[in-house]
Amino acid sequence: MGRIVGIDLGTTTSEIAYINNGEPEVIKNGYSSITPSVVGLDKNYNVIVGEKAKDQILNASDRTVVEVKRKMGTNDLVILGGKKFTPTQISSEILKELKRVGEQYLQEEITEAVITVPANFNDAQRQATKEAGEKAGLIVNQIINEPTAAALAFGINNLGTEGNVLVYDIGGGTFDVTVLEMIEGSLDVRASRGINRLGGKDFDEKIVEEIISALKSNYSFDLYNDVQGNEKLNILGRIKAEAEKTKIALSSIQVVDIQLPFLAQKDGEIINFEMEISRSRFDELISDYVSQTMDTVNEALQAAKLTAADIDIVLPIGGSSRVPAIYENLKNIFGNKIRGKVNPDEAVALGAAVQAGINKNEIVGNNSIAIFDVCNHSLGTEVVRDTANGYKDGFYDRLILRDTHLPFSRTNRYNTTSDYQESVIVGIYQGEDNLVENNIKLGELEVNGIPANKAGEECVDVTFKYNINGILEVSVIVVSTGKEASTTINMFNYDAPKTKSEEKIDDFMSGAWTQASEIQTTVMLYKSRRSNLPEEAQKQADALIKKLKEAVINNDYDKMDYYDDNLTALLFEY
Amino acid sequence: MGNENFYEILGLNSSGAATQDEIKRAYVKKRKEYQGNEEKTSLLNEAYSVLADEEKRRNYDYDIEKSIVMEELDNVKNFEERKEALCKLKKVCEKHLGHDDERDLSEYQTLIEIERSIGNDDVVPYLDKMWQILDGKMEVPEHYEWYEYVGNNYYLYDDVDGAIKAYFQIYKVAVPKYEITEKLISLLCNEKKKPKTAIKILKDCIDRSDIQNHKCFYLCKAYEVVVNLQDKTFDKVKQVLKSKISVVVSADQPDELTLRALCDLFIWMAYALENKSIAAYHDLEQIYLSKGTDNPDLKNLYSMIKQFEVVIANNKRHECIELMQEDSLTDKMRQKIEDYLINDADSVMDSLNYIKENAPLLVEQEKEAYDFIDSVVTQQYKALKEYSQFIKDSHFGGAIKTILRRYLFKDVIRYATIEDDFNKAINQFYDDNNLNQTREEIRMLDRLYPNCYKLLAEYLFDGQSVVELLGDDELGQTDSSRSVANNKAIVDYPHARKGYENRPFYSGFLEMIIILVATVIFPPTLPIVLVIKTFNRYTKIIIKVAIGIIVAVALLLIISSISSLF
Repeated sequence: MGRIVGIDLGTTTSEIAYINNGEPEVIKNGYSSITPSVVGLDKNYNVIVGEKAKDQILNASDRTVVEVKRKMGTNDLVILGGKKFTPTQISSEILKELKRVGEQYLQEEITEAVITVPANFNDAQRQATKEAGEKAGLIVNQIINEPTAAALAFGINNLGTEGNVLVYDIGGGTFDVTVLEMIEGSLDVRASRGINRLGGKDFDEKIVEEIISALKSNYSFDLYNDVQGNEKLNILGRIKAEAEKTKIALSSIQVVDIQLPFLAQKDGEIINFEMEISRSRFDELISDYVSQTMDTVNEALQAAKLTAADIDIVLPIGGSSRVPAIYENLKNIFGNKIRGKVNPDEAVALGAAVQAGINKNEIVGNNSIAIFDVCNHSLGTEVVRDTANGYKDGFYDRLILRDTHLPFSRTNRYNTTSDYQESVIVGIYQGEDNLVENNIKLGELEVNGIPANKAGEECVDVTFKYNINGILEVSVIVVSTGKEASTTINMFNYDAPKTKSEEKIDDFMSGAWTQASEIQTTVMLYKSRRSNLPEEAQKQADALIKKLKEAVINNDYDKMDYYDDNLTALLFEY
Repeated sequence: MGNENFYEILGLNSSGAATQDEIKRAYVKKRKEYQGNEEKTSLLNEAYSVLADEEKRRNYDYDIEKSIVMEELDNVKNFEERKEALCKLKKVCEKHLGHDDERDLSEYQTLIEIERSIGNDDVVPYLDKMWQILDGKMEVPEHYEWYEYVGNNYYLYDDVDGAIKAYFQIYKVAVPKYEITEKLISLLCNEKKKPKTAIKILKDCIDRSDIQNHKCFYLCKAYEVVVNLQDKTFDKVKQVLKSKISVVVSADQPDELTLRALCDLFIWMAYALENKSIAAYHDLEQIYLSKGTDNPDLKNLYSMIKQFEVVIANNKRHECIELMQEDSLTDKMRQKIEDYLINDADSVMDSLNYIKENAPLLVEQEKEAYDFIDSVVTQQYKALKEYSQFIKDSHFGGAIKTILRRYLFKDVIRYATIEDDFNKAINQFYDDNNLNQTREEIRMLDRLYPNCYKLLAEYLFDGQSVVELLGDDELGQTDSSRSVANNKAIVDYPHARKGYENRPFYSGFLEMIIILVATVIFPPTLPIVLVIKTFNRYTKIIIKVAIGIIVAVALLLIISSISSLF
């Protein structure tokens, strides 16, 4: 049996850590603890990962993949050197590289790993991560949440402390807030919220936009129209690389001078791009994102039933937490409760190693720390309800609410809804909307052989079992016969979340009944039906409504009645 | 909810007095203890998820408190205890109000059912409170059942404004069920005298419904309202509606929907008849005749309608039908049935026979339904419930429903015969003092006519409870208490009249003893009493008068005999 490690599989960078004599320690890859999460193919079509792959982004963008984490758990494919790969395959290459780095450092085989994922990753994304680990030849001991891991890394060094901790985790591509309580040498997670696609990469993108617009206004060079194909991609690649550097530099200095010599050619003239960007301009560019994250912070506090004043310790982690604007915002809310000692890049990997150490009894006794994690999305099934228009399906019934401690299992009983119903299909959904169509479908389960009976007389017990790794088992039992069906959800059979824009209910006759005067109702009717009228009648109706308005203004009740009646009659005729 | 108490799972005192901090620490301790045991940890997490949340914990504590009272209610021995338990339940419900809207709604519902089952009809304040919770704040599609519940109950308790506002909310969001639109429209037309608003609502319903027969339903109703309006401005609308109806019910190849639309036309013809909108009826009939159809089912329906027209034409019968139009079979309905039964049972019977004679086809056509009703109604109150469900489910029009309701009435009349059986049993009780046999017979009656003993007890004993009389707790207790236990079920228990419990239990014996004593003193008393007994209802008063006379005569005799001694 080889060693176990903790791995932080990040959007832009990944880290690996292990337990050295009861203490977590990050494994260095050469001089740096960071391995870029970039996978590429070199000229000979050999797989390269990390710095080497990152170096070739500019020259061979078609043979390099970045930010694959954003695609995990989806059906999207990644094209690399003309071949198609699943995101899981790409991620497994990163894990293989980390495994190699670790084995070289430890001079020992690595067989197992605890891998971290963002807290708001859904089941499909977690499952995909687990599969990537297995593909890389690792036994995935546990999947844990990144903020939880960071809290573990902090907690293991502060075992005596009790209090509420808020972890603000902003990485390259994802953002999470987790509120937890340190109590009796344990970490009790209270609530977790996040934004799936928000991170340092989005900040870079803002600078990229700024540069492109400066190119247009100062150099009359339109990147989108003046160049095509590879040339365009190469220019964009250089801008992106420069943007990232600029962002990092702005964390320590006030003004950065961006210089991109020989960036492009326009009408035979070479453009040597040059512009200054100040920190305040950068703050302005990303202010929307930052305020979004602060809203999420408040949401998480609310879910944990706490206020900012109840928080004793704030842990900013993830590379992007170095952005000064974020620090300022956190300081405004939490004052001086922010702990700067935590290394934002390493905390997650260290925490994963701590979890691995606990699981393998490498950290024991009073040095150990227990963590009680929660599920991050509600889970439930589709049900039929009696509505204004008779029985309607498509309603979402939550069996496991978000922020419930794991493991958790719950059984609900459901009746049949039609006579002589023979089978029940249990849809399995994840999300927070009351209608299933706005949630993510994880799978479905069918149970047959229900005895022929009247509606409501037969019932099934649906059990959702959510285990410590955040993976779900669903089973259905027909109560009268004991017939059972259970499933392992086909995790890849789901589409990315689609939020249907809510159809606004027609404001027809809004307001309480008492205010709904005759005229009000007529006007509403006119508004909603006018477009259905033929042109001639529209004119007539318009004239009538005008006269009706006059009558209202003049308080002429007889005329009001007269025009009201005529308009109603007119509307009725078509 | 598991069987174990959540507090015990966390290793806490089950009294529920633990602070949040204690709960947290207890959880952490147990959680460490159960490390690796998925099942136990799951259970622990379930307990913690409830107790760590103040609101959920309050609900949980309350559920426990409630279940204790419910258990008590299941084990009551007599009406007194039952009432006591219900009052206790009421207090528990009231205590819990005001924390959570959803929960409050079901608490108010429970409270309403409790009030009903202890004989209190004053439930409108509760409905008002429910409405305060619902109004605008809770979305109709999701809380539809509550809107309907509140609306129907307002309607039942004659709160017109309440019913309109509830139905209106439902209508605003979706095209509601037929019955609700019908109620809303009739309230607007008849109670509020706002037929024009009703027309606008119907116009909207017509535009919103995309199914042919629904459209027909609303068009017909609109037509009826417009005809009754008798306003010249709407003459053209009348024509438009008429032509629209004929378009809806006609098709070159009549498909199922067209047929259903035609059926709806008939239903509306029947409604129009019942509402005495004879002009609208004739116009609708014209539309049908102008279409003409070979479908035998429709022809049959048409001839039924014609029969119904004959029945309706008789005004006295019509009054009777109107009375039976009362919807929703609840306590109020039962009260009306009882009153009607006592006051004018003969004319109901008369009407029934008349309709049966004049509309045999109607009866024939719906034989299956009749048989069903017949088999069900023999079970009296239980039947009332199932029957009301049947009416709700079926697509029968007004005419058929009326006949079905009438059947129900016929069955209620059977109480008269039960009374005879019951009298026999009671007399036996007084004469032979053979308690066991009497109990047997009453039990048998109870099985035959569930719940009727309560009504009979009230009727025959002036409110004395049979259960008390027999010192027996087997009768009819379980049924009613169980339905309260089910939070949402309607309490199936006819309410007792006021003063019901205060009648002295021994009044029957006292009468007998007095009669016996009187007979010894004055022999002709016995035949007199026997004659009086046959006038069952007035026995009490007559006996009292008779006793007065007897005592006076006896005193006179004694005084005269004593005086003759001197």
